[in-house]
Amino acid sequence: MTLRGLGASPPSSLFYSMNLINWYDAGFCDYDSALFFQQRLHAGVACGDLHDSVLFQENQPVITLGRDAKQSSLLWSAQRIADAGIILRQVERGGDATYHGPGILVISPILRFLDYASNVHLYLRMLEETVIRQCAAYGLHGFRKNGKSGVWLDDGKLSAVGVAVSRSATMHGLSLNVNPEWTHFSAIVPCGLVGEGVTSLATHGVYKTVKHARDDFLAALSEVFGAKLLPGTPVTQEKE
Amino acid sequence: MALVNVLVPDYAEGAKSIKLREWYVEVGETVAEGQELAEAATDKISIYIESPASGVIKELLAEPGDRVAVGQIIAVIETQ
Repeated sequence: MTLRGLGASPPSSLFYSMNLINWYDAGFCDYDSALFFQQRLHAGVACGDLHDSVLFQENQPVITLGRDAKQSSLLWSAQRIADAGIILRQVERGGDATYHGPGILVISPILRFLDYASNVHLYLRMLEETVIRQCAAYGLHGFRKNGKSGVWLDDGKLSAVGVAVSRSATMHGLSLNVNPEWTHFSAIVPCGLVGEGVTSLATHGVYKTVKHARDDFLAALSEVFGAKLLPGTPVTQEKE
Repeated sequence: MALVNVLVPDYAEGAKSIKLREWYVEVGETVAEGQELAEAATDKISIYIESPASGVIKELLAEPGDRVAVGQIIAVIETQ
């Protein structure tokens, strides 16, 4: 099993070659614009023109339907969803229905993942591990649930994951509920999991801005993936 | 001429229950190396399978909806 970074930090006394990951923040934006930018990043990373990258965004309200989305995962009519100002998008990641909106950090690592993990399943676990370590930094116990992807707290799912791999480079990734407005969540069965709740950092008394949560995620990502993180060229003005 | 097998990639190892979702090509179609031929998926992961060589699709050996395994031959390409 090839796995770098998931475990003890590398000994500082030894030479250690770290991968460089550039991060970008699209700020508060519409889903389509961010997807377009993600696709451009993916094209650059897959052909080797760009360093591995991570794109952050906080979306205007959107429900994304993964390749396994069931019609029953939508609890509101299309009209009601539109009236609520939520857009609906079919996406190429695995998984079911997910809501993204204000207060939710969406994280899309675009990585030549075989540099970090021997298989895509392990890569997914490393993404979860990153959130689990971020939770630990807040004093929260994040954990995996057997047979259910993502990161959970005792009262529900905190972080959903779903990835796509094309030309050995990843797209999509995960979302982290920082301090979302809950009303829109009732439009879907999150990730198609009936009877399971969703939760947030704020619900557990951890009040962070999306930007601060981003910075904390970057710290955990660097640790888990054994990579050096540097900002890429800004995409749009960041929402403070 | 040579025959080149298209396999479910090793990096899908560990992903349980991989399903072939869709072919993007047909038998007789000319493809380029690196071209996406098919999409396979498991829970939470979509994998786009690329052509290992340029040539013509000679056989498709799995149907959309079939469960496939890592290393399984799912297509054959005839190269020049």
